[in-house]
Order: sequence, then structure tokens, then C-alpha cells
Amino acid sequence: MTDLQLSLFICIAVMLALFGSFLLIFTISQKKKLKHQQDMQLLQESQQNQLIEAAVRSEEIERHRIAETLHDEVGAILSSSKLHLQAIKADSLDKHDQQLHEKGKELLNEGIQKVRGISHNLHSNILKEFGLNEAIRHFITKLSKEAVLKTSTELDDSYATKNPENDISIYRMIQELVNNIMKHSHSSEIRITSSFNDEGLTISMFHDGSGLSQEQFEEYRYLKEGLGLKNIQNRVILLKGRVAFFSGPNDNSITIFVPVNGKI
Amino acid sequence: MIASLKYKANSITKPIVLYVWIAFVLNISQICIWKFGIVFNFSSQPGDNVFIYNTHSIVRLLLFSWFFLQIKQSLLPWSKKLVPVIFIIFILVNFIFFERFTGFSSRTLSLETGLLLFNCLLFYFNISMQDQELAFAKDPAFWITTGLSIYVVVNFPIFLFYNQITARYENFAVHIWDLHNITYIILCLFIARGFFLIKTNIKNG
Repeated sequence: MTDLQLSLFICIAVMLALFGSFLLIFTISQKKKLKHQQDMQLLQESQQNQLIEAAVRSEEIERHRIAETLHDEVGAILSSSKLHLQAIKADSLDKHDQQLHEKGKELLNEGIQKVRGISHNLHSNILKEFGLNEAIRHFITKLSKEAVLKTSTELDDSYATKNPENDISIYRMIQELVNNIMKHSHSSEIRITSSFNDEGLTISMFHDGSGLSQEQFEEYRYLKEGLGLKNIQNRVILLKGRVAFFSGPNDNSITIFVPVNGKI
Repeated sequence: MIASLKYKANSITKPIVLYVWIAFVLNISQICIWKFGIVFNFSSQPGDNVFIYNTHSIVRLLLFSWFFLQIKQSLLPWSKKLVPVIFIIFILVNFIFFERFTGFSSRTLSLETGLLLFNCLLFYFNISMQDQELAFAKDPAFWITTGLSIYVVVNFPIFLFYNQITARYENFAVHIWDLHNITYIILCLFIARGFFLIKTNIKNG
């Protein structure tokens, strides 16, 4: 092999080696960049989750505070008013005043019941003491008493709470969704079912009114007015779960799935 | 060529589609001139088709320069405009004063590969400097540039020494041209991959 031929081969080899090294460094730097971006994304997600968690917690604390104030202060004042009202000797009053006295007592009793109801709704006592299923049953039964609404529940009793904080979030989502159904769908029947397996808990709500589709949910949750839907979405993110809306001509459903490992 | 017909080109790859078709015509002309020259004996020399190599080189540089100009880059964008200007001035001066256009021009082809290599490296540097990570495995421009890079890296020394080699070692020159042909096939495969990715990207939105 002559010098010229050898020089040519060396030249080609050097050029190829240089380009190969360049390409290798380029690929490594791109991969590093990708990893950095993924790390940043994870960090952002974790910060977002922390913010949501803080918002959900502060909302729960605020609910408790309002519930306690209503129960201990407003409730106490109303009970004391009732005692004072009962202390009035109704026999000494004329018939008209007796009627007013009775009406006053009736309204006061209704007020006390309402305050207790609101306070229990805001507080999660039943949830903490008897678990999620019992809290849902209690909430739904109370609704059927208050409104002209047919309600039923088919809940999986094999579900055992692993994280009470998760149950509060699930319960609040159900409260919000049921309230929305009552407010907007004009339905006459609500049915709540649940099933629990190794993967997680699935809660479905069925109603016969006019329901939201998944697309509408995605649209409304970004609106300023859609605070309830935004809260539902936040809680779903926090639980690493899913919420699915289905709207049909005769039946509508909302399904919440919370994975077993979805923790706050 | 099939890939260029099958997958619709976007604005970036239009020059490459044009190049594929012009290269096809030039390569066919090269073969025809050579083969018919032997069969019908109207060509006195087997090197009568050599001017097509020079033409191919000019076409390749101009169309790939156009391709690189279509790609938006932040690093030295003016230099990409300078590449075809330098080359055109060079070929005018070279073929008017120094070399015949009908002969193989080592200078022209090696300058062409050098300038294209500069454009390829500039493309890589620009990607490296971007904040956003490029999904380069899905980028047609990346595949076309990489194919071109392999072609110019290997052929730069071949073109540079080719006039000397043909003058002194004709047999070796024929063999070393096989290496050029292999890298040309690699370039075509990478271009086809780029065309295929355009379709995939359109499909995936």
C-alpha cells in the first residue's frame, strides 16, 4: 500500500471517528437534557400536588371550624332561646299569642335542626366513626327525606379504610356531585354503587336527569364558576384517581376510581 | 424515490425531494452516456460522463443549502446564506480560469462536501443549544442531516485525493469509488427514513 493510499484511509478513518464521537456526545447531551426536563416535570407535578393538598386540607379545616362554630355557638344560642321560649307560660297568653308562641317554637326547632344538619354535613364525624360506606348511606338517606327524590345505595362492604384522609376526599366528591345532580339535572332518582378490588375502589352514581358528558366536564372545570368541578378534579389528582362522566338519553353516570396506592 | 412519491413532503423537505429526482436523472444520464458510448461507439473516452459528477455536486450543494436554510436556527443563521454564495463564486473562478468542467474536479467536490459538513455540524450545534429537547428520532431533518453527514465525512478525503489517485493508481480509484457508492446508498436510506417520518408525524398530528 502506497503512502497516498494509506493517507487516504487514515483520513477517512479519522473523519469517521471524529464524526462518530461528535454524534455520541450529541446523543448523550440530548439524553441528559431529556432527563433534566423529566426531573423538572416531576418536580412541578409534586409542587402542584403539594399545593392541591394544602388547599384541600385548609378547606377541610375551614369546614370543621364553621361546623364547630355553628354547633357550639349558634346551636347553643338557639337551644338557649328554645329554653327561654319554653319558659314562657303559654296558658297566660291569649289565643292569638299562643298561636304565635307555637309558631315561634316550631320555627326555632326547624332552625336548630337545620343548623345541626349543616354542621354534620360540614363535619366528617360519621365518616370518621363509622367509615365511608355508612357516611354515604347516611348522606343519601337524609337527602331522600329532605327532597322528593328516590335514592338507593349498593355499596361494597369489603372496602376497609386504609387512609382516612382519602375517604374524606371521596366523601366530599360524592357530596359535591350529588348536590350538582340535585341542583342542575332535575332527576327523580339517584343510585350509588361501589365495588372494591385489589386495584382500587370504584364508586358510580346513576341518575335519570340531564347529565354532564366527559367533554362538558373538561370544559366546565376550567370556568371560574365551576368551583365545585375544579375541587373534584383537584381531589382526583390528589388521589391519583380518575373521574368519568357519561351522559345518555335516559341514564347518566359518574364513575370515580381511586387506586389502592392513591395516597394523600 | 418511492418514499418521495409515497410521503408528501413538507416545506423543509421539498428541496430534498427535488434533489432525489434530479439525482435520479443525473445518475441515469451518467450510466446512459457510459453504456451507450461503449455499445454504439459514439464515445471515444469512458470519462465522457464525468462532467455530470461536477453537475451533481453543484446541484447537491445548492439543494441541500436550500434545505438547511428552511430550518430555523439561532446559531450563525447568516453563515448558511454564505455557503452557496462562496461555492458559486468558487466554481465560476475555478472552471473559468483553472479547471475544465468536463474533467473530474477534486477541488469542487471536496469544497462541496466541506461546506455541507459545516452546515451539518451547525445543525447539530443548534439542536444542542436549544432549551427544548428535540425528539430527534422522530425529526425528518435530523435523519436527512445524519445521512448527509455520513456521506460527506467519508467522501471528503476521497474527493480531495481523487484526481491524484486516478492519475497514479487507476485500479485503486475504481475500488475506492465503491466506498463512495456505499455511503451514497446510506444517504438515500436516511433520506427515505426522513420521508417516512413526515408521514408518521402527520398521522400523529
